[in-house]
Amino acid sequence: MLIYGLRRLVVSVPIVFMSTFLVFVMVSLSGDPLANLKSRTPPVSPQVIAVEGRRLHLDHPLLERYAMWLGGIVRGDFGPSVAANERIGPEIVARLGVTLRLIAAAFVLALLLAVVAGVISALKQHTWWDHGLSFLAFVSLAMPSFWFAVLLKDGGVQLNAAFGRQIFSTVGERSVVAPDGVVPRSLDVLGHLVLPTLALAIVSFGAWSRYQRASMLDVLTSDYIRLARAKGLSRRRVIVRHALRNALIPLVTVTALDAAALLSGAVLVETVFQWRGMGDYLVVAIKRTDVYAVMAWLVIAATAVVVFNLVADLLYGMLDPRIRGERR
Amino acid sequence: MVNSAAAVKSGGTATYTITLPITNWNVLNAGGATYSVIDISNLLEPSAYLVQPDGSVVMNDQLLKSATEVKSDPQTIKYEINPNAKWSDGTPIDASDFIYNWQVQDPRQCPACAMALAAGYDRIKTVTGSNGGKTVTVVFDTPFSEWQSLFSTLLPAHVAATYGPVGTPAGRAKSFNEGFVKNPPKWSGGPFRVDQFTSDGSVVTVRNDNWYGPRSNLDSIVFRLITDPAEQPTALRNGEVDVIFPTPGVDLLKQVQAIDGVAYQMSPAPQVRDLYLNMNADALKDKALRQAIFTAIDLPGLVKKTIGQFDPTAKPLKDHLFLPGTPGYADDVTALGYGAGDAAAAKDILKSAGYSGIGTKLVAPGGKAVPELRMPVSNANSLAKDEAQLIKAALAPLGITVAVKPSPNPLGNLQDGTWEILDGTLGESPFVASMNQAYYSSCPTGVKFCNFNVSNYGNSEVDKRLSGALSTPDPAKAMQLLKEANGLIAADYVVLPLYQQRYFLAYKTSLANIRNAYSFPTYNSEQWGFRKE
Repeated sequence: MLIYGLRRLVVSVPIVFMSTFLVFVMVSLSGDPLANLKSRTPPVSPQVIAVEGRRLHLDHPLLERYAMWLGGIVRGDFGPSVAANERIGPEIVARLGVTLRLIAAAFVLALLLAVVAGVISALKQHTWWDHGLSFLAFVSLAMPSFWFAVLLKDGGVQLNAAFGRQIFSTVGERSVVAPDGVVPRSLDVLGHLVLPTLALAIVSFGAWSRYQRASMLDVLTSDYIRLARAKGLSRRRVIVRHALRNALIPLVTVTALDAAALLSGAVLVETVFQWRGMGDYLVVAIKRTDVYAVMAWLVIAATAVVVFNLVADLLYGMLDPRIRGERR
Repeated sequence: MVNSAAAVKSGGTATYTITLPITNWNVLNAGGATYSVIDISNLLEPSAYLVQPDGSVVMNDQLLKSATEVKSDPQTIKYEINPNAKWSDGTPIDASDFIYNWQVQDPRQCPACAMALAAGYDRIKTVTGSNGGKTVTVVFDTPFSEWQSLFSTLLPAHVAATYGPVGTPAGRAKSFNEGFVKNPPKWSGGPFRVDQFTSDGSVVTVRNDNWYGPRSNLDSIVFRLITDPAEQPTALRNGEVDVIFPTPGVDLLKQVQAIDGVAYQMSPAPQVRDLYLNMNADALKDKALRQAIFTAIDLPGLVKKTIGQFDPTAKPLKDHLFLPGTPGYADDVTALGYGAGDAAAAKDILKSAGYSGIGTKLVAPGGKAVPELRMPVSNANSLAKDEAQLIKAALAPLGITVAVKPSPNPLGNLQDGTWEILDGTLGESPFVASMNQAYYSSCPTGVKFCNFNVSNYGNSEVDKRLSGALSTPDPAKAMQLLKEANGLIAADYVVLPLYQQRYFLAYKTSLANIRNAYSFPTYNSEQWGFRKE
C-alpha cells in the first residue's frame, strides 16, 4: 500500500508542475499588473510605475519570471503581490483556514443529506418518496450554486424580518465587532455559517445522493443480501449492517474526489456571502492581475486536487482489496 | 432626498461599506490612494483645505486659524495652525508635519517616494516653521495658483521618524513607502482613530477623545469590506451595514428603492465620461472628419439611454475643463455642433471637405478609404457597451464603420494604440488647472500617449494657457486662461464630453448628516449621528 501511495504521489508531481507553468503563462499574458496604477487620475508618475514594475519583476522576461517564482516556492516565498502591503504566504494560510471551515461544514452536511436521501430513495424505489427526493437531487444538480446562494440570502433576510431579529447574516464569516460572551459569539459565527454552508452543500448533494441511491439499489439486489434475508436477519440489520456499509464504499471514493471540487464552489459562495477565504482571494487576485497571488492559489488548489485524488485512490484500494491486488 | 444637517443624539455605531480591500494605508502613496483608504483617512488625517459638497474649497478651521498668501513674488503662503491642534498621542500638529509632507511629495526631495501626486509640491522652495512651529511659511520658486490643494492630508512627522530617518531622502522614502504603507495607523489627527483592522479586511474606528474639533456624535464608525457592490444592498436591507456607496446602476437603484427605512442620494460625481478620438490614427488627423463624427452623435439620446436610465436628471456635458455647477462651467460646445445628432449636417461637413462615399463607404479627399474605427469596450461595463452601440449606429449613415471590440482591459488598448475611438472616465477636481494639465497638455515629440492625454492631443496655445493658469497668482487671470484653453480644445474636435458620472449614496433614515462631498461621504464623519427619537 505504501509503495502504491508513493507511486501515485510521484506521478502527481509533474501534473502540478505543468499546471503551474501553464497558469503562470496564461495569467501573466492576461493583463497588466500595473494597469490599476496606470489608470489613476491624476496620473501617477512614470518613475513610480517603473519602480513598481521592478518590484513585481516585470523587467524580466516571462520564462525568467517563472523560474524566479519556482525558486521562491522552494524557499517558501510565493513572490511579490501587487498589493505592496500583502505577504502572500501568511495571507493564504489565513484564507485557507476560513475556506476549510466552510468546506468542512458543507462536506459533512452534503454527505449526511446525500446518504439519507439516497438510502430512502433506494428503499422506497418508485414511490413518491423516491420521486420527490430524485426531483430535489436533480434540482440541486441543475441549479448554479451562486443562484441558490442569492435565493438563500434573500430567504434569510426575509426570515430575519419576519422574526424581527437578525438570525442569519449575509456578509462575512462573523460580525466585525463580535458580541461579548461565548454563547453570543458562537451564535454569531453560526448565524454567518448557515446560509453559505447550505449553498455550498447543495452543489454536491444532488450528485452524491444519486450515487448513493444507485449503489444502494445495486447492493440490495445482490445475492448476499438475499441470503441474509433468507437466513431470517431483521430488515433493519440487513439494511444497516450489510447493505449500507457496502453501498457506502463507492460513495466514499467519490466524495474524496469531489472534496477538492468544493473549492471551486467556494469561490462563488464566498463572493456572494463576502467571506474572506480562498475563493475571495482568487477573485480579488484575478481582478488586479496579481500573478503571484493567483499562482499561490493554484498551488494550493492543485495540491488539494492531487491529495484528494490520492486519498480516493488509497481509500478505494483499502476498502476493496481486489483493486489493490489488480494494481499491484 | 438630501440628508441635511439634523439634530442627532450622542453615541452609537454606524457601519459604512468599503469596496476595495486595504492593502496600503498611505493615502498619499500611489498604491494607497484608493476610495477605501481615502474614506478612512478623512477620519484620521487633517487637511489644510476641505472640499465641500458643492465643490467649493474652504479652509479647515479646525486645523488652521488662517492661511494667507502674504507675498506674490516669490509667492509665499503663511499658515497659522490652531494652537490646540494635536495628534491623538498628544504631539502638537506643527510645521514639522508640513515640512515632512512637502518633502515626501516633492520628487526633488525624495526621488524614491512613490507619491500619488506631486503637483505643486515640486514648485516649493522652502517650508519653514516659526512661533513654536505653529506658523508655517511656504515659499514657492515657481508660482502655484492652486496652492489650496496642498497639504490635503497630513501625515505625522513624529510617527514618520519612527519608520526611518526623515532627514535623508532614503529615510523619507522608507517611512513613506514602507512605514505608512504597511502599518495601520495608531495615530489620528481627526475625529476618530483606528481601533481594529480585522482579519476580514474591515476597520473599526472609535472616537478620538484627543481631537481638537467638536466631539463626534457617534462612538464608532465601522468600515465593513464588501467587495462586490451587488451584495451591498442586501447587507443594507439585513441591517448589517448602515451606509453604502456603490457605483450606481438600474438594478441597484431598484433594489435600494425597495428597502424600507432607507434613503438615497444620486449626486453628480467629479468624474466625466468622454469620447476620445485617437490623434495617432492617420484618418482622424483630419479635423473635418472629427467634426462630422461629433456632429452625427446624438448626445442627448445617448445620455437618456445610458446614465439617464437611473438618473433622469443627467444632462450632456458642455465643457471640457469645468464641471457643471462650478464657477467656470459654460457651454463651449453646442455652437460647434457637438452631440447634435444631425447626420445631414455631418454629411455636409464631409462633402465640403471633399469626402466621397458618404453613406456607403467613406473615402478621404486623397482617395484613401477611411478605415474601420476600432472601439475597445470593457467586458464588464454594460453602460459602455450600450454607448459603443449607439455611437456605431450614429456613424453608420456617414459611411463610417465602427468595430466595437469587447476588451478585458481597454487601458491596454489605449497603451498599445490598438484603438481609434474610446469612451472613458477621468477624474476632475476643484483644482482645474492641475488636473487638466495632465489631460490636455502636449506629449513630448515622438510619444504617442503620456500622462492621461488619451487622444495624444497637442496644441501649443492650449499648453501655454494651462501652464499660465497654474502659475499666475491672479485667480481672475487663471480663470480667463482656462476658459481660453477650453475654447481652443473645443474647436479642435478631439474629445467629446458625454456626461458627468453619478454617485449613489444610500443609508438608513435613522442616521443623519450623511452626504457626499466630491466622492467622499466621510468628509463630515464627526457630524454623523442617529436621529433623536
